[in-house]
Amino acid sequence: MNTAYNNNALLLLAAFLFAVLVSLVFLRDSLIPEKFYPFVIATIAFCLIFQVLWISPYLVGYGDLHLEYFLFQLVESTGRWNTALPYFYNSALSVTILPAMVRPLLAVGDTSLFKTMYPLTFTFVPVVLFLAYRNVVGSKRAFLSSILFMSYTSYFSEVSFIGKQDIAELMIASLILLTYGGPNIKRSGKPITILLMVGLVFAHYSSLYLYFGIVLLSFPLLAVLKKKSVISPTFMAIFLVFGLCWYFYTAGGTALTEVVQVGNVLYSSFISDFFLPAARGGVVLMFFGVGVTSALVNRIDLMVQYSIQFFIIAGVLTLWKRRKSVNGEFLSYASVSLILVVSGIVVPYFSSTLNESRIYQFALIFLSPACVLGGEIIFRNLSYATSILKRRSWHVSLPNSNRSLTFVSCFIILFLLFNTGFINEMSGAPPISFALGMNRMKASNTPGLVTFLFDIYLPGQDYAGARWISTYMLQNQTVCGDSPSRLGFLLAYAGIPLQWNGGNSYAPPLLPYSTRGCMYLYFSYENTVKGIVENSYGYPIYPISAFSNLDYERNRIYSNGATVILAFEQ
Amino acid sequence: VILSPDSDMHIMCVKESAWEARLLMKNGKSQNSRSEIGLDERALRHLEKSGATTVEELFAGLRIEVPTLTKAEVTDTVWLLAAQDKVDMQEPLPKSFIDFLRTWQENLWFYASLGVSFVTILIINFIPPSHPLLVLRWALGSVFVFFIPGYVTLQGLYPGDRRIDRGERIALSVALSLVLVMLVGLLLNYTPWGIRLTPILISLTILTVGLAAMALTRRYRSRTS
Repeated sequence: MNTAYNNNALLLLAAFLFAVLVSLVFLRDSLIPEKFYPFVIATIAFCLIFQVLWISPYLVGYGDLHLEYFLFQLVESTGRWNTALPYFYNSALSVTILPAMVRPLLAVGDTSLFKTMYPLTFTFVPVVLFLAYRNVVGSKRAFLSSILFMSYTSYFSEVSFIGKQDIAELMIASLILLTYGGPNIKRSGKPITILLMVGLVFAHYSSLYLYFGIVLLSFPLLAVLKKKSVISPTFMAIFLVFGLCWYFYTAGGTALTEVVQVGNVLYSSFISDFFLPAARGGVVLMFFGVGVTSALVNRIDLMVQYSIQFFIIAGVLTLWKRRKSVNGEFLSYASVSLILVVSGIVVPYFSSTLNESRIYQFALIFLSPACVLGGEIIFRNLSYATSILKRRSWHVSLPNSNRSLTFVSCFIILFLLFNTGFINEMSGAPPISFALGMNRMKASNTPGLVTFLFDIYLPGQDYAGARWISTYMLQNQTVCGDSPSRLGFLLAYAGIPLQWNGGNSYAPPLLPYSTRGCMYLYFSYENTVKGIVENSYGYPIYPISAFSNLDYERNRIYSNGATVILAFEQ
Repeated sequence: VILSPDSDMHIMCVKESAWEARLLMKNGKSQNSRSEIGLDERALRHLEKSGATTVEELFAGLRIEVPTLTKAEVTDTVWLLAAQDKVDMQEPLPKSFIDFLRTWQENLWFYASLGVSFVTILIINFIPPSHPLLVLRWALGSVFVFFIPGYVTLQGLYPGDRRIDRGERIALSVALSLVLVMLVGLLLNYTPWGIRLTPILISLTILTVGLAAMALTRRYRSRTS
C-alpha cells in the first residue's frame, strides 16, 4: 500500500487497530472470548511481519537472508547439500535442506518461498508462546506477554528476516510449551523433546547456544529451589555434545569457530575495556540516552522502554518471592535471561558481538510473562498505596488483578505503538518503521535514514542490474560493490559469493580511490541516487564523490537510470 | 435427555447401540436412604461395587435384586444417569484391528491424513505448475509438508484425543513436521537420488503412512488395553 500508492493511511489504521484489539480484551471479558486470543495474536503478528516484508517484491532483509537464499539455491540446483562449504550458515539445515524440500512440492518461486515460509513460521511463535505462558500465568497475562514479545521492533524488523532463527524460535517455543505445560503434555514429552532438540540443532547455531546457555545455567537455580526439571542435565549434556559435533563436522567447523572467537573477544576485553562505553552496542548506549534526540516523543519512548525493563526486574523479583508456588523452570529461565540482558550492558563487547537487539528479542521469550507479572504487581501496590492515602486507613482491600492488568496493557500498547512507528508517523518525528515511514525514508537524504532503509530494501533497478551482471559477466571475475550490494542482492540474485571459494567469481568490497582487483564495479541505487557508499553496514560511509576519479563514460557497460556497472581491464 | 415414548424406532435404535456400551462411574454416588430405592440408585450402587461394566452386566446384576426388571428399563435408566452426568458411556471395545479400523469417527484423523497425502500426490503429478488450480497445490502441499508428518506422530504419542489441547496439538504438529522434513532431507542427501521432487514425494509419503500406521496401532493397543 505504502509502496504502490505512496500512502500509509491504511498501515496507520492497522497499527491503531492492533491497539484497539488488545484493549478490547481488557475492557470487558465478553468482548473477545478467551478461545479467540490465539487468533488475535496470530493476526497482529502476521500484520506486523508482512507489512515490512511487502515493501518490496524482492527479498527484504539484511545479509543473513541473502546468504541463506544463496546457499539454498546451491542445494536446489545440485540436489545435494555440500557439507564442506565454509559458510557457517551452511550448517543450518533450516535454510539449506528445508527450503529445497519444500520448493519442488509447492512449485512456488524461490523469492516467494523465502518471503512466506519463514515469516509464516515466525507468525506462529507468539501463538505457541501464548499456549505455553497460559500454563504458568493464566490466559490474560499470557495474552499480554505474547503481545509484548511481538511488540519489540526486532521481532518484525530484524529476526523475521532471518529464516534460520525463525525456525529455531519455533522449536524453542515448542520446547517451552512442553516445559511449562501440564502433566498431560509432559506424559509423552520425551520423544517430542528429542525431536525438537534435533530440530533446534539443525535450525540455528546461535539460538542453540543461547538456549543451551539458559537451560544449563538454570540447573543450579533449580537445585537451589529444590525443583525438578523436565529436561534433565544428562539429556542436555547429550544434546550439547550432539550440537557441538554437528557444528564441528559441517560447514568446515565455521559455526563452532564463530562461538570460540566470540568467547575469545569477551574474555580478552573483559578487564581492559570494562569502563569503555564504546565497548557496548548502539542499542545499549541508546538505552542510556546516548544518541536519543531531545524531542518529546523520543523522551516518552525512552520512558516507556525504561518502564518495561523496570517491570521485568519487578517480575523476576516477584517470582523469587513466590518461588514455592511458581513453576521452577519459568522462574529459573526468566532469572537467567535477565542475567543475559544485564550481561549485554555490563560485559564489554557482549552486546555488540552477539547483536544486542537479537539477544534482547531472544530473552523476551522467557521474560515477557515476568514483565507482565511485574507490571501487575507494581500497579496493584500503587493502587493499594493510593487507596490507603485517600481513606487514611489500613483497612483497604487489594485492588483486583484485572484493573492492574489493564494498566499494564496500556503500557504494552504504548510500547507497541512506539515500536511500530505509529507515534513517530503521527507526530512527525523521524521515521523508525520500514513499513510506515518508507516514503519519508526514501525521500530523505540524511545518511542515517538512507542506510537504515537501503540495508534491507532492494529497489527494482538493483534487482535488474544483478540479473544482468549474472548473465553477461565473464566467468571467474570479481565484482566490487558496497556492503548492501555484496552481502545482499549480488549474493542472492547474481549468485556472486563474498569470498573466493575455488575458481568462482566473488565480490570484494568497493573502496574509494582504488579499483585494484575489481573487474567490475557495481554502483547501486543507494550509491548513485542517494550518493552514499557503505563499506560495512552503516560504517564507514563514503560520499559518491570519493569515486569521482573514475571514467564513467569510458567504462560504463550497464546503466538503468539508477544502477551503474563499470568494467575494467585486468 | 429423557427418551420420548412416541418415537419407538428411535428408542429401539438408541437402546440397541447403548446395550453394548461400557459404563464408567463418573460423578454419581449412591445415597444411603432408608426410603424405597429407585432403579437409578440401585444401578449406581451396582456400578460402585463392580466398577466399569457393560449395560448387559448391569442388567444381569440388577435382575438378581429385581427379577421383574426388563432390559428396556435398565437402558432407560442408564441413559438418564448419563444425561445427569453420573455415568460415562464409552463405545464398545473393538473385537479386532479390522473392527477398530471401521470406527470412522475415531480414526478420522488417519483417513484424513492419508486422503490429503493421496490428493496432494495426484495434484503434484497431474496439475501443471501454470494451471489455475496451482493454489490447491500450495494449500494441500503446505498441509502435507508442514502439518501431517508431525500430526500423525503426535497421534501416536498421545493416543487419547482429550489428552492435549487442540491448540497445543496444532503447534507441536507444525514444529515436529519441520524437524521430520529436515531429517528426511538429510537422509535423501546421502542417497543416489538426492533432494529432487520424486524422491521427496515418495519419502514423505512413506514417512506419513508409516507414522500414521504406527500411531493407529498404538491407539488400537491403548484402546483395547
